[in-house]
Amino acid sequence: MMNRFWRNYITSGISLPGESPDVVRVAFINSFSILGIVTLLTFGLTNIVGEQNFVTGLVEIGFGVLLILNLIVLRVMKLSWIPFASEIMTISIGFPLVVLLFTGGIEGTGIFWAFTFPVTVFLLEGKKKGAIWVSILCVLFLILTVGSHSGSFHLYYSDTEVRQLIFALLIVSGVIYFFENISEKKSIIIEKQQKNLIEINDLLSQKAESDRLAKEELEVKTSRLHEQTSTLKESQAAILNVVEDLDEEKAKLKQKEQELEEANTKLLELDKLKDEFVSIASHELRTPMGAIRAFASMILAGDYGKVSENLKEPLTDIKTSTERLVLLVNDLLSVARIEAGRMKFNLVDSDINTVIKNVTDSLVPLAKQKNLDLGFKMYEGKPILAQMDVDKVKQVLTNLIGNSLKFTDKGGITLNVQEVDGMIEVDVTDTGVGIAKEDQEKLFGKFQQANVSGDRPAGTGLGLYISREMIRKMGGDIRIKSAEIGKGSTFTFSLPLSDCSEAKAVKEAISKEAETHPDQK
Amino acid sequence: MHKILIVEDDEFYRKIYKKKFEVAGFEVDVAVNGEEGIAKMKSFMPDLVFMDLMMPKMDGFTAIDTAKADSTIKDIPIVVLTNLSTSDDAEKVKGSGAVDVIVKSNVDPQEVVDKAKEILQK
Repeated sequence: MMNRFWRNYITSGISLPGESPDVVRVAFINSFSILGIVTLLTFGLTNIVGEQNFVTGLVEIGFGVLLILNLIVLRVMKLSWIPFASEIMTISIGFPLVVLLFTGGIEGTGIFWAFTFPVTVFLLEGKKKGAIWVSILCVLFLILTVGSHSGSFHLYYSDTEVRQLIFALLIVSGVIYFFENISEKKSIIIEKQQKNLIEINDLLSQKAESDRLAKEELEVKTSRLHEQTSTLKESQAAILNVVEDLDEEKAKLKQKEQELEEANTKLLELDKLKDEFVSIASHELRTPMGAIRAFASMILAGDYGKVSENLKEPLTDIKTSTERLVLLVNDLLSVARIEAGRMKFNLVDSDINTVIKNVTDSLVPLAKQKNLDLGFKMYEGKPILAQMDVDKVKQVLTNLIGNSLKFTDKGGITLNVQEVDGMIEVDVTDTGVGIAKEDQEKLFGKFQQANVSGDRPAGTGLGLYISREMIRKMGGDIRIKSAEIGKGSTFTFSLPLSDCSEAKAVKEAISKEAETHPDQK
Repeated sequence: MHKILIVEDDEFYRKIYKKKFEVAGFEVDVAVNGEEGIAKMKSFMPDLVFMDLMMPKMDGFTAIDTAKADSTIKDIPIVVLTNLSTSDDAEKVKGSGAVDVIVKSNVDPQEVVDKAKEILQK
């Protein structure tokens, strides 16, 4: 066990942290430190026990112990925290040399130490540091031995021999230091170059790496571009298809448009023909009807000689029937024009008071025939301008008052005018039979007549329809304001006051409509 | 005795108005179209003319224009007596120089006579 430890210790050695694990070097260092320990302890004990030199003996033992501690602490325990560890060791080994040179050791073996010391130091400190250490010790020794013959120091060996040896050592150390320094510098330069080379190599490999990455990226991008290109090509093809389709659609649409235009032209022609037909038909119808009526009237009036009593009633019936027929044809003509959008409106600013007065004046004789009052009090007593087609408004008023006269047996008809929200409102109120709630809205339809008792002259059933259409075209409206069976009724129609926005809008709409029917003079 | 000229292409209306005005005590002459109407206005020299609009050869509008352009007859008042086919014709009549317009089918012949008397009194 012990043998193995020492063999192991001496051959493989225990190196200091940072030392290269050089077996030979470590073996030398350790062997000489053990030799140093043995030598120092032996000399120290000899000096103390033999009472030759007590102080020298104590110092020798002290250095021996230091060397032991050194070995234990540095070599065995590997404690790297001790500063100047190798320096302490060098001094510990170097000191016995000086001592041996003076004392000669045991029977002159001290000179052996003089050869082993530099080797140990060189091994321990390396060539350069070792050379410095050896030189320092040599110089120290030379200083100590200057004039030693006459001084207190006495050398065991011959003064000259030792001095020659020391000089030789100093020179060898100097030479070693010199070459070592050069080689160190060289190696530093080489190291630097190597380092530079490594750095350059690193940079190059980094560059190569980044180049490689860039290339890879480029490849990825290229493939992506290829993909995108093919996608784009596909899209382009799709777009071209769509464009083709669109062109086809466009052509189809154009054809359709042309067809529609032709159809429209035909329709317009037909419409015109219809309009002309209605105009001519009504004219042609009215001419003989008017003639029949005129003949009947003249016979009744006695223009052709005395009429016997029994013929008067049938002649009157002929006249009345013909009159109704004329009214019906007139109304049908109006309806046809309204529905074709060809009724012309000549909108002017007119005084509603004057218009009403004209109509009521012309109808007063008719009211008197039935013993009815027909009253109108001018609104505000001054002209109130509203936008209207005077003839159409007169037609509406005649229709409303005519209806009231027809369905009123006692009392009378009153007209009232008021302004409401930029509109003129005209009320026609009678004390007639009134209208049932369920019939009120129906009355404005075509061919609708109130279902009332009594013997009354039949109308065409178109009057209120025509009135409503005309009033609405002029921007107003017509409605039944109030009506109750047996309590009379009030019809109200409105017209826009002059220069209000409503009036302007209506005028624009009317003129626009006229533009769309340019064939209508 | 006032002289009345009836310019009318319809045979029955000519008969009606001729009879009515004669009964009412007027001297009456008739023409069947605008052209004849103008000639009769010059030869007969009526106090008042009743003029139809839709007539063959020369229509009422042309006849009125012709009459108004002729200094010998331009002062004879003309009343349009028609069955208007469209409301636009009414507008046209207003600007034609006629003193009034009567829709034949809407009035009694007596009203036409009354209208003539009213105009001639002025």
